[in-house]
Amino acid sequence: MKLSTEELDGGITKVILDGRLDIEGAAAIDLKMNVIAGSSKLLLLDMQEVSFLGSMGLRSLVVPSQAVRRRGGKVAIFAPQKMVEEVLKASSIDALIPIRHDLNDALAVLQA
Amino acid sequence: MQVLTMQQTHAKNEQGRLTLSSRLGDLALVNPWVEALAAEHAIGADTVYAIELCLEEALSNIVRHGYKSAPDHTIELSFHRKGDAMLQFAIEDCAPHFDQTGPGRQPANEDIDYLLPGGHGMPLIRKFSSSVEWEPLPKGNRLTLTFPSRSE
Repeated sequence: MKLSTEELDGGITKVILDGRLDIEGAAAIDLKMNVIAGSSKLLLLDMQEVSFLGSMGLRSLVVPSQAVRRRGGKVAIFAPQKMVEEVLKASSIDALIPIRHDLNDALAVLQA
Repeated sequence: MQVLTMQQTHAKNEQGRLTLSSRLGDLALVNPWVEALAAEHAIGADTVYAIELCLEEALSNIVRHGYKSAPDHTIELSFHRKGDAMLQFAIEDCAPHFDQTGPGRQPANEDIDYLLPGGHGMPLIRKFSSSVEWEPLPKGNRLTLTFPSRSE
């Protein structure tokens, strides 16, 4: 599981996730995600290249998202693959972290 | 490399059967086993995803809650086709009786600040499998997961 970041205009941190967010993948990114969540208030989670998401991976998204929200920030998920999105929706995460497939829509969620 | 890993962890992979140690690290051996079954039985990508998801959730529950992370136990997986329509995976362990199919914790959904980070495993298994059945064994548990065999 790979994680990289890109700073966008407007103070948005784009977190690019690549690989399987299974137990092993979640363990690989947990610390980095928590560090990012501690320093950014607007988080765009780019999930285009995430090919698998399980409950441990959900935890890796939810915990830092909670931290960002508690500091008055916002989080959006960008372009998850079909089955990954099904997992997000089955877990009701989509009701809490907006999912957008258009980049401008995702940025608008954060800038609103 | 994979064979070496399996020797190190005492995992065994026979046709339609896989034996794992009760370690979360051993779960990495499940996906290659499922991929091989998928190739042999022409199982579609979405079904493979569902199988891998449900097995990861069920197996991690057994390791963490059934065996309480003690590493020296075994978990037996077996695969069977049920006619042309269904695929069945049975998971047997020697842990104390532990019904994973119970209600468990229900994640809240009103606000992200109250969303529990855990508790999603069994709801995901119910959503992504056709059926899930728990059976107590004289010494352990059997969990049977069924999936449609269509190739998307």
